[in-house]
Amino acid sequence: MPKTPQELLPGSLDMLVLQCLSSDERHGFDVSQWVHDRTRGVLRTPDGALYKALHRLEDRGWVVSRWGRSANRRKAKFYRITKKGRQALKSEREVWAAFSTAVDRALGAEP
Amino acid sequence: MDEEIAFHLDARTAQLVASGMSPEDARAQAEHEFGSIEGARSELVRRTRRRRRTAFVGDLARDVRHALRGVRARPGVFAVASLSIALGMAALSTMWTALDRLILRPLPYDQERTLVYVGPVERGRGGPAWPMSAADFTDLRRAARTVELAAYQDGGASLGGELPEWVTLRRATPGFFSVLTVEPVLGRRFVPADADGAQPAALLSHGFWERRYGADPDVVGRTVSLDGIHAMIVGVLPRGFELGRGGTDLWLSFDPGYPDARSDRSLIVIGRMRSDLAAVRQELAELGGRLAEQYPASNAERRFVANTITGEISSGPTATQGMASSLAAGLFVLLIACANVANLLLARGADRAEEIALRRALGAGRARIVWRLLVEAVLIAVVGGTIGVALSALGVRGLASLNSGQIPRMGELAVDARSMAVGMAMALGSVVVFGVVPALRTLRAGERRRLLRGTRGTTSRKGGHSAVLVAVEVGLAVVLITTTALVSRSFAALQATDTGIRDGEAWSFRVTLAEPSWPDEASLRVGTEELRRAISTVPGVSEAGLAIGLPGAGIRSVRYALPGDDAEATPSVWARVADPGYFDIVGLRALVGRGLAAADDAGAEPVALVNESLARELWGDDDPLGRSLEVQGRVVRIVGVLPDVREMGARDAPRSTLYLPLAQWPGRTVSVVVTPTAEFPVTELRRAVGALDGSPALRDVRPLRDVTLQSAGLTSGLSVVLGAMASVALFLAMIGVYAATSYSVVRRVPEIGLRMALGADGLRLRRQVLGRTLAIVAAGLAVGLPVAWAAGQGLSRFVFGSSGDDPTVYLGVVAILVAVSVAAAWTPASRAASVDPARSLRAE
Repeated sequence: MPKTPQELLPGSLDMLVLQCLSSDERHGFDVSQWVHDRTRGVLRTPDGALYKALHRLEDRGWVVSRWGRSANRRKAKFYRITKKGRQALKSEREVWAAFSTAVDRALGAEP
Repeated sequence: MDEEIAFHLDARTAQLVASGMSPEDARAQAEHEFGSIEGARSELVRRTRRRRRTAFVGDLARDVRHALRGVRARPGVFAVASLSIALGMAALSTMWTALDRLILRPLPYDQERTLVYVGPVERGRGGPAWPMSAADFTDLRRAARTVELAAYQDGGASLGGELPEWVTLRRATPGFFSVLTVEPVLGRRFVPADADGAQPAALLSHGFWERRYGADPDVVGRTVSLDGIHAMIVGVLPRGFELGRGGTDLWLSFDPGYPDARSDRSLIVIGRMRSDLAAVRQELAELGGRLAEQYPASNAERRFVANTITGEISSGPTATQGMASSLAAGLFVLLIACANVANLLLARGADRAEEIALRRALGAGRARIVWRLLVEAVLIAVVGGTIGVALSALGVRGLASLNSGQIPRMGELAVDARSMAVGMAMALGSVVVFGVVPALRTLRAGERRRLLRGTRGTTSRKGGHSAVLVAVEVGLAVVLITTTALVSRSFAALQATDTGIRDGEAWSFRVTLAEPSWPDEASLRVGTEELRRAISTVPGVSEAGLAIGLPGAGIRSVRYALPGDDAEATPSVWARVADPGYFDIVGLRALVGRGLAAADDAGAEPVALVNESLARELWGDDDPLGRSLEVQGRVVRIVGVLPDVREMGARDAPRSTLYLPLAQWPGRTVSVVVTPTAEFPVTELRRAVGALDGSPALRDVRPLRDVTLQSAGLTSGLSVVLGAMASVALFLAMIGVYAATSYSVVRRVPEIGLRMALGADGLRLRRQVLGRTLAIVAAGLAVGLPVAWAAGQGLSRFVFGSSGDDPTVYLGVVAILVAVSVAAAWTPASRAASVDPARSLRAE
C-alpha cells in the first residue's frame, strides 16, 4: 500500500475519468464521486486535478461538454465521451493490462 | 469556469453537512480536497478560451464550406446575386469616390475644422466666402484676436515663353500658407519680405510643376515671366492642394496694401481660429461695428461673418447638386441590387425550409442557423464587392474622362484605398442587412414545417415579401429612369436651341492684354489693332472677329439714358462690344439701317446698334434710326437694328441688347472668333499672338458652339452618368422581376398541375402569371411615379429647360417598364403554361 495514494501513475486518472464517462453523461462532481467510490478511497486525488483532466480530455477531443441542470436544478457542466475518447480508453486499457500483468509477473517470480 | 468549481464545492459541502459535519468544517474539508483552487481555475480558463477560438474558426470554415456547397448547387442564383451587388456597389462607389474626392475632401491640409472663410454681408447680400476690400481685410487682420487671417485674390496671367501659356494664378498674402499649415514639398512658404520687393515670389502647384517643368527638382530659384513681370519660384506645393473652385497653377505673394477706397472687393479671406466659431463670430461682429463707426460712408451697413470651410463647401454650387443627384442615383442602384439579393435569398431560403426543420430538430440553435444563412450572404457580398471594386475603378476612370472643366480636379479622379474600403463596407453592410430578414424568415419557415411530413401542400403562401421587394425595386427604377429621361431631354433641347448665332464652324479663344504692357485705353486700342493684324496674318485663318465676351460667356452691362431724361434714372442694359468681323462670322446682319463698319473707329462719331427688343422698349413703333442715346456719359447715334439673338447663351431667352463698336469701346480681355480654312491653326495663333508686347497667351480655346451651349458640359456629363445608372437599374429590375416570377411559378408547380388536371388551360395560366407580375409592377409605378415627379421638380431648378412634368417622359417610362416586365415574366409564364399535370402531381 503506497503511503501517498494521491500519487496516481501518470495517465491513469485520465483513464479512470474516461471509464467513468463511458457509461453515462456526468458532471464534474459526479465524476469525482465515482472515482472515489470505485477506488474505495484509495486513489485520493485532489478534485482540482480531476477538473484539469476533464478539460485536458476535452482539448484532445476525447470528451465534449455542455451546460445543463443537475439533479437539484442547479446549472452544471456535463461531460460526455466521444468516439475518439472510447478508442483512447480501449488502447489505454490494453497498455495498462499489459503493464500490470508484467508487474504482477515480475513480483510473483522467484527473486 | 468559476461556476463549475463553485458547483463542485457546494455539492461536496452539502454532502459532508448531510453526513453530520458543521457547515464551516464541511466547506474547509471540500476546499482541502480540491487542492489549489486558483491553479485549477487559471488552467481551466486558459483551456476554455483556446477551445472557443478553435471552435469558432472550425465552425466558420464549416459554414463557408456549407455555403460553397449551396453555391455549387445553384450557381445561377449566386451569380445573379453577386452581379447585382457588384453593379449596385460600383454605381454608388463610383459616385461616392467622386463626391468624396471633389467635395467632401478637397482640402488635404489638416485641421479643416479650424479653418474659416470670413466675408462681408451688406444689405442681405454677401457671405463668408464673398470678396472683401483690402482695407477691411487689413483692419480686421490687425485687430482680430480670435482668428488669424490671410487672403487671396483670383487672377490669371500669360506665362511668357516661345508659346505663351495662360495660367491661373492666385495672389496670396504672405501668411496664407502658414494659416493653412501647408508645407511646400520643395522650397519654402511665402515670408513677409516676399510681398515687399519688386519681384514677387511664386509657389507652383504640384500639377503645374509636373506639366510645365517635368517635375524638375531644380526649379526653385528660377524666374518666370508673368504678363511680362518676373517672379521667382520659391517652392512647389504638395499634390492635391487646392482651395475654392478651379485649379490654380501658381500662387504669387502680394501685399494687398491699404487703399482708401473700401468698396473695391477682391479678396477672399480665410482664417485659422484660435478660439471656437462662436467667439470668432462675436469678435467679427464687434470689429464690424467699430469699422462702421469709423467709416460710415462705406461701412455703415457692412458686417463680417465667418463659417467653417467645410460648412461653406457643402452648401455649394450647381456642380455639387449635380454630384449629389448622381450620388442619390448610385444609392438607388445599390438599393435595387439589395432588393434583388434579398429576393434571391428569400427564394433560396424557402427551398431550405426542410433542411432547417431537420437541423432544428437535431438541436441546432437559432443563432447558429441564422448565422449559417448569413454566411452565404457574406459570400455574395465579398464576391460581388470584389467585382464591384474593379467595376468602380472603371467607372471612376470614365467619370474622369467626362471632365467638363466645371468641376475642379475631376480629371485627377482615381480610386484610392479609402473609397475601396467604403465601397466594400457598403457591399457587406447592405448584403448583411438585406440578408438578415430573409434568414429570419427562412428560419421561421423551417420551424413551421413539420418534419418528415414531406408535403408542401398544394397552396403555399403567395410570397408577399418577394412581391413587395419587386414593387420597391420597380419604384426605385422608375424614379431613376424618369429623372434620367428628364435630364437627357433637357440636354437634347439645349442642343436643339436656335440661338440666332451662327456658330457652326467658328472657334473662339480669349486674349488678355496685360496692364504692364497696355496700361490705358489709347494703348489698348493699339493693342487690339495689333492683335487683329497678328491673327489675320496666320495662314489657315479665313476670317476673324473680336468682341468683349461671347454669347453664353459674358456680356457687358452699361448704364444709359435717353436725351432729356433726368440724370438720376440711369437704367442698365446688356451691351455687346464687337468689331465688324465678329458680326460677319456670327451672321448678324442689320434688319434696318447699316451694320458696324471699320470706319466706326475712335476718331469717328460714336455709333451703336440696337436689337429689336431694345428698339421696341425705347421707342415703341417709332423708327430708331438716327436717334441718340447717352451711354456711360457718351452720346451715341443709333445707325441700325439687329434681330434678337440669345446673347446670353442657349439657356436664356433674348433680351434687350445694345451693340457698340470695339474700336470705340476697347477692353482688356478680348474674345476672338476665327473661322479656319481647314484645321484650326492653334499653335500658329499662339505663336503669332505671343509675339505681341507682354506675350499674351490664348485661353479658353473652344469651338464657338460649346460656348453658346454654355455649361452644356455639366448637363451632358450628368446625362451620361445618370444614363449609365438608369440602364443598370433597369437591368437589375428586370432580373428582379424575372427571378421573382420564375420562382413563384416553380413553387406553384403542384398547384398549377392540379389546376390543369382539373381542366384549366395554359393560356389562362400564362395570363394569370403575367397579370400578377403586372400588378406588382403597377404597385411599383404607383409608388415610384409621384417620387419621380417630385425629383423632376427639384431637378428643373438647375437643369436647363426641364419642366419636370413632361408627360411623354412619364408615359415613356411606364411603357418601358411594362414592356421590360412582360419580357422578363414571359419565360416563367410560359413554363407555367407547359406544366405537365401528371408529372407534377406524381412528384407529390
